[in-house]
Amino acid sequence: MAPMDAAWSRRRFLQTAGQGFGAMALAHLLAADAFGSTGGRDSAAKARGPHFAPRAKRCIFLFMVGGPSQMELFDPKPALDGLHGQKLPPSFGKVTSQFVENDPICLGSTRKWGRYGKSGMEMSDLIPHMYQHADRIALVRSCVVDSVVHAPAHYQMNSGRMFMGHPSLGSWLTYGLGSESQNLPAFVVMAQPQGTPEGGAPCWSSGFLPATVQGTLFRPGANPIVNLDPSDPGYDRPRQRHLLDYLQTLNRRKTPPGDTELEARIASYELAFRMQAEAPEAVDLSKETAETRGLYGLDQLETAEFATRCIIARRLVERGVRFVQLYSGGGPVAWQWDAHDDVNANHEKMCGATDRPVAALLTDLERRGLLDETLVVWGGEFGRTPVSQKGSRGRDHNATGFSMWFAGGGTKPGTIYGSTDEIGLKAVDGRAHVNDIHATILHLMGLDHTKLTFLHSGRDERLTDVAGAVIRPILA
Amino acid sequence: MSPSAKADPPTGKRPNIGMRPGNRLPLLLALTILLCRHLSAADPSTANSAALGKHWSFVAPVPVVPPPLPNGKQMENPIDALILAKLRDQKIKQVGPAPKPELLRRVTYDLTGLPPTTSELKAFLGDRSDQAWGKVVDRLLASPAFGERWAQHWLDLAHYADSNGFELDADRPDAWRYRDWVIHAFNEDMPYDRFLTLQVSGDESAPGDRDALIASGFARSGPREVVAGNIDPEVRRQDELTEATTTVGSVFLGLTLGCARCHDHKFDPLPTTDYYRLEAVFAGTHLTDLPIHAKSEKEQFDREMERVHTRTKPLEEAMAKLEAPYRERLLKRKEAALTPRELELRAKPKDQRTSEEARLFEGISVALKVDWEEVAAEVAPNSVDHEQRESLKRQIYEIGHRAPKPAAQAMAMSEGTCELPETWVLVRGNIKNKRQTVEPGPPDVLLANMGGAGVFHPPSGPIDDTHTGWRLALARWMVASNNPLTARVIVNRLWQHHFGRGLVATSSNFGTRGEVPANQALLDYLAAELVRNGWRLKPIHRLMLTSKVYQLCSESGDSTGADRDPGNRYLWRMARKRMDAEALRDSILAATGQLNRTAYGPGVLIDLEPEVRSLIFTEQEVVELWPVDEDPSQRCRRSIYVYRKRNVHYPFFDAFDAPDALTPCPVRAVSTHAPQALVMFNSGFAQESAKAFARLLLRFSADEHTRVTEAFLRCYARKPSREEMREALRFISSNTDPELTRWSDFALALINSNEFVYVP
Repeated sequence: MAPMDAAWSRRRFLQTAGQGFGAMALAHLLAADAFGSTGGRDSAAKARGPHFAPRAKRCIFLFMVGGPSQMELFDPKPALDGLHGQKLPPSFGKVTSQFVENDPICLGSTRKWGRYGKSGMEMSDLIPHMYQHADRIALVRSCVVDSVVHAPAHYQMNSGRMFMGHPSLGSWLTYGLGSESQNLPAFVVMAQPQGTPEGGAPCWSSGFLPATVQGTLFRPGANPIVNLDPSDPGYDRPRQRHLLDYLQTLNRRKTPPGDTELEARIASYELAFRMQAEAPEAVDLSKETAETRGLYGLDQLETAEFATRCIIARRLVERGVRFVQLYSGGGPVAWQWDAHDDVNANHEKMCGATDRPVAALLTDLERRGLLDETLVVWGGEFGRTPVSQKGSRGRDHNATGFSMWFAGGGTKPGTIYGSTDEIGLKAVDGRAHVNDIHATILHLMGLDHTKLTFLHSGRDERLTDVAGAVIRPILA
Repeated sequence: MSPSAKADPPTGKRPNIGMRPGNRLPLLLALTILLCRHLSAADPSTANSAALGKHWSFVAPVPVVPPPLPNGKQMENPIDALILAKLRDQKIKQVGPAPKPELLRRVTYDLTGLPPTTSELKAFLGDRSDQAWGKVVDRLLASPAFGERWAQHWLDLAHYADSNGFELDADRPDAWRYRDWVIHAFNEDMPYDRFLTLQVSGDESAPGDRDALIASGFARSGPREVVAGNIDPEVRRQDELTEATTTVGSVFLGLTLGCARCHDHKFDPLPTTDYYRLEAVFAGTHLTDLPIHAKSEKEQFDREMERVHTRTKPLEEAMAKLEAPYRERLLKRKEAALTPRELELRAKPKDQRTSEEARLFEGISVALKVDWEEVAAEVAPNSVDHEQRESLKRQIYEIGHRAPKPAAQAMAMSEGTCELPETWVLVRGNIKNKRQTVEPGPPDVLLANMGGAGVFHPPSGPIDDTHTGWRLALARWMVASNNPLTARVIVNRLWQHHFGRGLVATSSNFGTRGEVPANQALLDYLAAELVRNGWRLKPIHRLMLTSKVYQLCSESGDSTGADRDPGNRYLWRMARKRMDAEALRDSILAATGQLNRTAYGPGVLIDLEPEVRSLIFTEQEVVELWPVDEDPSQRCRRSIYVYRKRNVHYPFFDAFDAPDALTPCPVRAVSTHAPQALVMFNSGFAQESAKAFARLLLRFSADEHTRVTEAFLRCYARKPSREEMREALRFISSNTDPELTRWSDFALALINSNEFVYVP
């Protein structure tokens, strides 16, 4: 029995060692199994960790599903307002979008604008809570993707490709950097309660990377992870522990010494058991102060839902979760930023739900000293057209120029980078393709996008395919 | 300045000199490649060295004679002779044979994906004849569960699902017919050459045959984008062709042709032209759903639907009546909110509007549109009307939900022309950037190795008005006896699923970047055997399973192999296997006595965790997003019959590495992580299964020892040791919970144990 006990005590050590080495060893044990057993050369158990000193250790990606309008939020276009109701002048070129007709009509913006902060960053009256952060964010007005249809653009904004089946940004980061938390998943996704984005689960898929790095969907409520809570409420904690002890007795008897694959499986049950205790704590907002609740708008009908997720996002990064993705928008069109019919009505609703919580998240991260090491990204899968969709008050999808912003994690505060043409149709200066955006995010997290690769189907695949360049002007 | 202008390749565009990402070539070499590439456009063969062309898998196998043992005797099974020869070279000793119960678990899992029953175990242990093992193998090969198991491996490659994926993820009500066709083909041991031919060209090789039409759906089993709007039909078409070409190339030929779509293959002798030559074979195809039903079937469907409409009509009218005042109120509010400019435009006579104003006038109707979300929200505060509306919605749904299924169609790949449209080489895979046209045909390097262009026989003319015959020609070339890849690729897949790892571990990549086979003689011998046996697969399964090596123990024992060959490439022991997701679910259902063995038919919606269900994307006002089958026993069907929506993942399958059906999956990952423990410990499925198991055990015997023994037999195909019996009884009697609870806990522990989840 002696050798078996040795293996067993190693496992005990892994469990009981402090957050530091123990967590790493456990993660390694689990990861080694994941990589070691896939067979063949389509696996690469390379030493993991950053390629160089990271500026950001964690990332919160606020994904505005449906495509927020740059002309209504961050990129004012007086020239467009002047053209309102007129046919788009041919000098601006052809509009590529999903539904717009061939000879579209310009739609001016009716928003009120101001300049804020020392940077004089322009923002509209839709996002008054963001004014205070003008000198905290780096705004990129020249973002570009390659599809004007939601799902392919979701896939591209998440995985660099328009097709399903490639690993998402969060999976690549988890694959490259591993997990910092012993008791929580490294990559957490929180969808809008009305539904996922059009792209569905493939948006947080691990693609051809091991399943261990796929996004874990957190649901609303006290038990955020699927099956975290026993389906039969009769399984209380002592009963589960009792059952688990018997299970491990069965397992121990059949685990030869040094069999890391079986040991990892034993460890995974202990990890799950701990997760059951700690994940509810991570999403329990009862200890948040009244001031914090007020800051996020947790007690107002309009903002409560997104505020909840923003506070949870902060609590997760505080607990070492690597990548948190919040989707604002999902399910019916009325619950997305997809303003085909009436851009003002739609954005008033969506901004009303998110402006305060998003601004509060930045304030909260900053005052807790977390913003330096936490990269916050805000943006959708594309922007919107300067022209009206079939004469309505709404705008169609525009992939050729739109705005995103970045904050914290080594980005340069108060930066305004890139520009679109006079009407906001196309990026003309500092074109920032999604591959560039991904390269920049990886760079801030300490990873060289050309070196983070995985051999699949005979090809060293990477997040940025064969393109991508770090957008250096937005780095601090 | 744009960041893209720096050293990195241009943003969003593939660089001209495509490199393996992460590497850079010296300038001179890069220029040389560029020049070669240029030449290759005119003559592909010049670009690639002769050495690459002689890559082992591109050359037809030479006949292999299994070597005799050192004492001159011949091994009974040639597989063993070829394995032992390698092990002798490597000076590694094989471990001993596995115990009979382990063997039975292993072979039953490999052939059927299920655990052996206690009576099967008893029969095998009781049979001491020399034929005992062969009889078991034959029994399992003849079992209907064989096709169900092996169809799953094939569907992984076809990346089959019951919906389209992408934005709308629309259902494919007829997809299951292809799944059934595959199960049936494996069960009847359809020769592989025919199996291949029907899937590549069913419509052409067997015109008018309904099953062949269904089989032709192979290359369209993957995701497909179907959305409205200004989608460029040329781009969409190109995506479909890419999907078909790369799938056929990787699944049947083991070629990563997708790499050659944008640039000449960097490692294999496959210039871009080869990719497009293969794609050209499919240029006449279109994806179409063809009726395969009798006229009467359709008429009956129409009649029944008429009855359905008669029943829903009064309900819909009641709904409209209920909503009318709310809609009117909403409309009034919207009208009141029209801008002065819009009001002015509205008042303007039609003939005085400019063309811009005419468009803006149309836009006003959008502003006045009343959506279902608004109606629902407006009705909600009036609880009487709200409940009435919900009830009407439910009634309409119930009637519609029970409406008959549309008459049968085949999700086919077919042609509608007798003339093959032209195919162009696309610069960097971009449909807008056409270079030169290509002739359809297989890759040049393979043609050259098979004896020149003459080995491919283009159709002498169209088959008929709507079929060019090119895909049939391709299929015939693929199954030519001297094709160096087809037979090797399929026997390697068989080997992979029996031995846990292919002789070529990269089973969809036989190119120069794939793995070199650990034992090429063995692979070539098996490939030749397949062709010699008329491409029938069951004899090859039998040959593999009756070898000594298949029956080895999976533990290292005292073999030197653990040090010399830790990866077990030379097969000095058998591989232990973690059950895959579907087999694990099926095994739980079988061991706990719940499995419903009904075969074939439309996919079954099984329970889905509420937190996943409630997030399913939909834009419609849907009453029931996930209407599980009302008959609980249907929800205990084998996993191959479970409805698989591409964008909605079952947590159980997801946790255990089931592929996502987005790209062909030749080798599944095997990962271990905490969510597996959560789903196996906490899910309704696991806990209900444990309860069912407990009930079965309580019914089985009044004696606790007998129950524990039965549980071990059903889960592990063995009896418990004395210590295990003692521990089990101690656990079961350790508290005062009700009997059912205590036995459920015991059952749950058993199905969670490593021994259950791993097949020795």
